[in-house]
Amino acid sequence: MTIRAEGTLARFALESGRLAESVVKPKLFEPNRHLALSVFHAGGIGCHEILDLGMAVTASHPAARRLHGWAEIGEDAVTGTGLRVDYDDSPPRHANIVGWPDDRGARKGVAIALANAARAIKLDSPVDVSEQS
Amino acid sequence: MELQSTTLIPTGEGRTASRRPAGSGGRLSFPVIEELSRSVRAGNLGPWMPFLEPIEKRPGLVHDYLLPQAWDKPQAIALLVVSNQQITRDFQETSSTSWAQLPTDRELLKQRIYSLLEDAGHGNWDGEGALALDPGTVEFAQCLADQLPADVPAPEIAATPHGEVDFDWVFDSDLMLTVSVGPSGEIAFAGYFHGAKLNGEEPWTGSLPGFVKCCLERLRDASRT
Repeated sequence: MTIRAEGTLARFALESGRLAESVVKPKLFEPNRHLALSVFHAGGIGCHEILDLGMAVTASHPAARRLHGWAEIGEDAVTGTGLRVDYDDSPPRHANIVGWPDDRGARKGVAIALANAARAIKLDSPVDVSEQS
Repeated sequence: MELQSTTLIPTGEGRTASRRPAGSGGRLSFPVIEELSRSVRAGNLGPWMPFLEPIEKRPGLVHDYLLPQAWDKPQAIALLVVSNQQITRDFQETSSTSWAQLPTDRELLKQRIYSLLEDAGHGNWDGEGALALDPGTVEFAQCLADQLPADVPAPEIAATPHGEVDFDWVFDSDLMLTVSVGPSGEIAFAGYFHGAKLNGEEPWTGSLPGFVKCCLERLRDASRT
């Protein structure tokens, strides 16, 4: 099991169609209405711990029940686009990617750049957290 | 790559990997199309028959089939019309099939846009404070769907947390285009074309904005190389 390098961020896919077999779709890196993108620090942990983290995130999300996988991206790739990573550790390892452009086109351009830089980890079949309890 | 031989239409119907033909390998969608293309040219459709669904005959074609081909596109199938006679000619003619020739495909796309209201027509539909998708935005998006050129594949459609409708074309990590219709009909777009990047915003004037048209042409050309 590969331990992720420090600075690795995981963005969990809680909706279908956000990950293809080996491609992260820009939609996964679209910030919410408040221009924040929820991510988790995945440095120093391996695939199983990231999966556990993702299941916990899915279980606590008000509008999601299934975890489809996640994208991994280096913090340097994020900051290289002009965005910032604000760690709040609430829940543990959580951070928000902030500093998104106000211009809609530029924002979408950044989401595409992040998708291009990210690595897709797509689960063979989605994990339904409501069946796990 | 025979991308022009496919037209993607939205159905909302997913398919499972178990239906994937043995030996299709690689990334799923277009390698499958290429392999089928070779079989069609070789006049050997037999191994594919379990995966093909017959459709109504059209003039000039002896047998038409749909290939449900959604293994990595859960909200789309590839409509591939093939014939087991005069295979090369028919297949090439099929390659130039356009939405103008298949108007029901565009209607399906517009229906799918309308159906976004079911999930995203109320505030906070994403649990993170999303704006409700407005019926007026849906109308703008349907107008945009009417304006899409006939020779680009149908996009994936989704509502955004900002009350927009996104049209996404994602071929691989180096070839992506997203076009977004906002509540006032303004169009935002961003594309990544094998290293070249474009983004911007244009007002809706009743026809496809120039830069968006340019991006779609670039997408079409890049996907054929």
